[in-house]
Amino acid sequence: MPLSRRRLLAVAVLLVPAMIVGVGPRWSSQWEEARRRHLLNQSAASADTASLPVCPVGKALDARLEAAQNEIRQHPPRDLWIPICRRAELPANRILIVSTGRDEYQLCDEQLHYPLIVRPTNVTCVLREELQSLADPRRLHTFGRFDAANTIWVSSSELAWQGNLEREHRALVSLVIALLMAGWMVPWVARRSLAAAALQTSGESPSRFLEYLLYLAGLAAAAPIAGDLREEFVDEIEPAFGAKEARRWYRRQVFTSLKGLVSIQLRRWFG
Amino acid sequence: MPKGDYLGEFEQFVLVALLRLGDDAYGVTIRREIERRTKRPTSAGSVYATLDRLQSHGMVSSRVGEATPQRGGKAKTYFRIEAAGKRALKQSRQAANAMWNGFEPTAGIGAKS
Repeated sequence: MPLSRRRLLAVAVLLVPAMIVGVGPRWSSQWEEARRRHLLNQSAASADTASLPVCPVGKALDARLEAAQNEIRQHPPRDLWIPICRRAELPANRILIVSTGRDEYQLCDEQLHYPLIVRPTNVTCVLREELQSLADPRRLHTFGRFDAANTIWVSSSELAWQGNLEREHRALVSLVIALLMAGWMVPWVARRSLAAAALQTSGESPSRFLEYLLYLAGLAAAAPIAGDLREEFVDEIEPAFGAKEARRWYRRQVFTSLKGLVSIQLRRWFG
Repeated sequence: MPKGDYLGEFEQFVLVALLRLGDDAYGVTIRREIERRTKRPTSAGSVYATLDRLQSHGMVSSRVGEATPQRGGKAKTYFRIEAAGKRALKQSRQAANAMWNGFEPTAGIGAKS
């Protein structure tokens, strides 16, 4: 089936926004994350972290971060990243068992402090958990928690991260595209229905809004239907049954015609 | 005749209306003709959607007519049944007749005559 210009245009009108919505937010959210990371590295390079308290581990760290976040909520700072505490320095000349999860860390700690066995004195358990997992993924906006230059940092405001950031970008891009399309379509449709109303010389005329709906559903295919309905309204229905009944008739006609109009438009676009 | 060429009930109504109306067949008159004869409320959208489909199959052709102030300056679109439409209509009628042959189409259930 050869592709006509109209069909190509229709495919482009649907495909280009779909691609922008599908791929664009992935790139833009990655760029945004990279920018935040860059700002974090900049802050980490210039900050004096020696005076910061040593970070606790496990639930105590949660409590510390929670308190810091509450403080930030009350007095939001200007910079994006705020240093909260510094990681405890790792002991030298010891065997370290590094845990990335709290259960693993607890198990290690229990083994080391079990009273019935002779524990080695040169072994230490260390918890180095992934800070990003501390944020609640069910919430769209959360404080970011990152580790840079042996310091734990918290973002100065609640932001969307990773999957949530991509979703947020996608919603924004969709909104912009919808507004652009509406901005193109609404004046075109309004011009058509206003021009039709201006030609009406006297008497009752059908609802401009309903005529607008017809054009919105069928675009160019709506013109003969709008003309037919207007002709019947003016010549027959309104003189015979009165304005109120004629308006009701017109409304019924418009709503029952919308499905047919949409199907015409889709067939014209996609054959 | 391939399966896709059989006409639906409403398509047959529209084509018969075009045959009856001749040169005066446009949206308003076609819809009115169908409503008057079938006593069935019909929307302008469904008439035009059917005409558009039939036109894409080459069974119907159209021409743009005059615009009037009553129509809000919009031109009428006149429709005409083409040879392919007449042929399809005839075949659909024959198929229906063949199915009904030997039955009385009354009271919902045909009694074999």
